[in-house]
Amino acid sequence: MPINQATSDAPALSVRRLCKSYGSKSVLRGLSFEVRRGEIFGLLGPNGAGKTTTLEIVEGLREASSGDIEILGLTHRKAHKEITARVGVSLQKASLWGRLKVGELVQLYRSFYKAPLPIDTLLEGLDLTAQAGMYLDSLSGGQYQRVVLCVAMVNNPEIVLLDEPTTGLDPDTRRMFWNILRDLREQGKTIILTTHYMEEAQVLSDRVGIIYKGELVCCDTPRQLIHSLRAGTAIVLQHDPRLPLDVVRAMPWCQEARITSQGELIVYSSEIRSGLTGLLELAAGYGIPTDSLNVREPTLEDVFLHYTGCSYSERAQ
Amino acid sequence: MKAVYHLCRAVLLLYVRDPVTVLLSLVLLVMMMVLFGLTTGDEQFKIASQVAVVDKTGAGQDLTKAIAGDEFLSGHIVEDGAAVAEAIRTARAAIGVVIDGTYKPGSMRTGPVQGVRIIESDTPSRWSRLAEDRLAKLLASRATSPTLPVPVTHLKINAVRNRYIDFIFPGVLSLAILQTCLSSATVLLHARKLGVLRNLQTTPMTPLQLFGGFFCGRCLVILLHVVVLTLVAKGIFHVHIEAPFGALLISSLLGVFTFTTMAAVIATVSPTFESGVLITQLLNFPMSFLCGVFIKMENLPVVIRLLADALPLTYFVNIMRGLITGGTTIPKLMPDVLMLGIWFVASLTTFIWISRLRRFKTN
Repeated sequence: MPINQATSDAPALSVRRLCKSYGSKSVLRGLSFEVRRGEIFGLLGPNGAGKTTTLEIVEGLREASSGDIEILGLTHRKAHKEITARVGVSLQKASLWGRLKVGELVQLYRSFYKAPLPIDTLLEGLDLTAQAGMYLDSLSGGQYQRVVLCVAMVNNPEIVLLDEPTTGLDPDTRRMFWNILRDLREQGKTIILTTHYMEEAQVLSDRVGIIYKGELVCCDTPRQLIHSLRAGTAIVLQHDPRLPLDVVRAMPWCQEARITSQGELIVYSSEIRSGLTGLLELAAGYGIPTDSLNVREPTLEDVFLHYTGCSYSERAQ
Repeated sequence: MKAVYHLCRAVLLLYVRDPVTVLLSLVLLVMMMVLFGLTTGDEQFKIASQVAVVDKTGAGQDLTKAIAGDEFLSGHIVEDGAAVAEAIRTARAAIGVVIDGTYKPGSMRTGPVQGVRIIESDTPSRWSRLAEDRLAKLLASRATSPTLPVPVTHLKINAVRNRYIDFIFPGVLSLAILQTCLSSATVLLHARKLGVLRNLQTTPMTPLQLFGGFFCGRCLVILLHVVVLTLVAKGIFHVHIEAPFGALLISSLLGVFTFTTMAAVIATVSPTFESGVLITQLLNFPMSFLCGVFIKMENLPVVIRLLADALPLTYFVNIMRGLITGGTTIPKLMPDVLMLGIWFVASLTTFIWISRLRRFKTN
C-alpha cells in the first residue's frame, strides 16, 4: 500500500498528554509516548492499568477526554477512514463468528478494503492454508489467534495493533506467535502490542512502555530499562518477618531490598559473592531457612517493582 | 457494495449453519401451519352456506322461502347480479343465483323464467358444492317446474377463500416476518457480546455498510422463510394468493422496516444479550396470540381487541390478509398502512435518539 507522502516521515504513533475519564474515575492521566516506524513496541502493565483503553483510543473505538493522538501523522478526527485502511487491529479477547470458515472470514474482511492482500498470500503467510475450510469454532487456540492476526493483516497494514494477542496461549504456541511477529517486523511493519506478560515484553519488544494506574512510568528498550536500575544480581528469598527489611538494607553488600506481596524478599547486590554470603549468614543468624533462595539477573519485573513499589505479578492478577 | 454483499452472505451463512435456530424459527412455523391446516384447515369457517338471490321475477321470493326451509341453506335477496358477485367474492355467500325473467313479483306461476345464472367461486369449498347440489334440486323440483327446461348457466368468479388455512396463512407469514425481524436484535446482541461488532468498527466499513449488510442478510433469511411457508401453503393446501407481487412486496417491506427498526431499538437498549432475548420474547409472545394470526379479531373480547389495536402486528396481518386472500388493494388498506407507518416512524425516531444518547455515554 502506498504511503501518503505527507505522513511518510511521521512517527508510527504519537501520543501526547492523553487523558481519559469515566465520570469521576480517571483511567488515563496524561500519557505521552512515541512509537517509531518498524519497531515492536510493547505496552506493559497490570490489568486495569489503562493499556486497552489507550489502544482503543488509538484504534478510534473511544474518544479521549483530552490529549492528542497521531497515527502515521493522521488523526481520527480528520482521517479516520484512512487510518483504518492503513492500520490492522486485533482486539483483546478478539472474537469472530465461529460458524464461518476461515477462508470465508478472511474473504469477508478483505471485502472491507480497497487493495487487500490476496487470500492465498495471507493464509500461507500465517500457515493457515490447511485450515481455510475449517470452521473457526473447531480451531485450536493457536490457530484461532493466527486467524485473528490474519484478519488484522488483510489490508497489508503499516501498523499492527495487538491487544494481548497471546493471552491464554500455551508457552509453545506463544513462542511460535512471537516468531510470526518478528517476521512481520522484518517486513517493515510497526507492531504495537499490549501484554501483561513480562517475559513477552522483554523478549519481543524493541521498546517497552510500562503503564501503571493510567500513567506511563517509564519507556525505553528492555535492556536500557533494566540497566537504568543500576541494580546488581537479584537474590530472592522467601521472606520471614523475623528478618527486618531495614536490617537487610543496612548491609554494605545490599544495593536495594524489597518485599513483594507474594512474600518474597528480593535483594539486589552488585557483588554476587559477598551479597550471597552475607544474606545466608544474616538469615542463619535469625534462624531463617534458606531452602527457597535463588539468584537471577534483573528483569522487567524488577523495573516494574522499582517504578511502582509493588510486585508486577501481584498487580497482574 | 462488495462489503455489503460479503456481510450479507455471512449473515445468511450464520443462520443456515445454526440448525437449532432454523428449527425454532422456520420449522416451528411450518409445523404450526401444517398442523392447523391438516386438522381444521378445511372447515373452520362455515360462513359460506348462504344463497344470494336477485329478485327480478318474484321467483326469487319463492326460491328464498324454499331455501329457508332447507336444513343446510339460508338465503337472502340482494339488489342485482353485481351484489351477488360481491357477496361471493367477499365470502359472504357460498353460491349465488340470478333468476332472469319478465314476470311481476309475487309468483313463479305468472310466467316463464328465462334463465338461471349460478354464480360461484372458482375454487369452490365443500360448503359451496353442497349449496349447489341443494339448489339444483330446489330449482328442478319447484321453482322452474312450469317452464322447464330453462337455460342454467354457471359463472365462476374469483372469491375469498373461506377455509381456515386460507385465513391463517397470511397470519403465519406475517408472524414469520415479525419473528425473523425481531430475532435480528438477538443476532446483533450476540455479535456485540462476542465483540464482532467492535472488530468490524476497526475496519474502514461505514456504519451504513454495516447495517446494510446486516439488514440485507436478515432480509434473505426472511425471504427464505416466506418462500418455504408459501411453498408449503401452496403445495399442500393449495392456498391461492390474490395480491399483485408489487403490492405484496411494498407491504412486506413496510413490515420488515418497522419490525427491524424495533429490533434495532431492542438491540440498543438491551444491556446484555440475555435481556435482549427476554425483551424480544416479551414483544413476540402477545403479538403472536392477540393480533389475529390464528383467531379472528371479532371473536376476541373487547379488552383484548383494544390491546391488539395497539400492536403493530395487527395492522401488518390485516394488510397481508387483505392482499393475499381478500384481493384488496393497498389504497383500501390505507388505515392499516398508516398505523404501521406510524409504528415505523416512532421506532426509527426512538432508535436514533437512543443511539445518540448511548454514543454520548460510551465516549
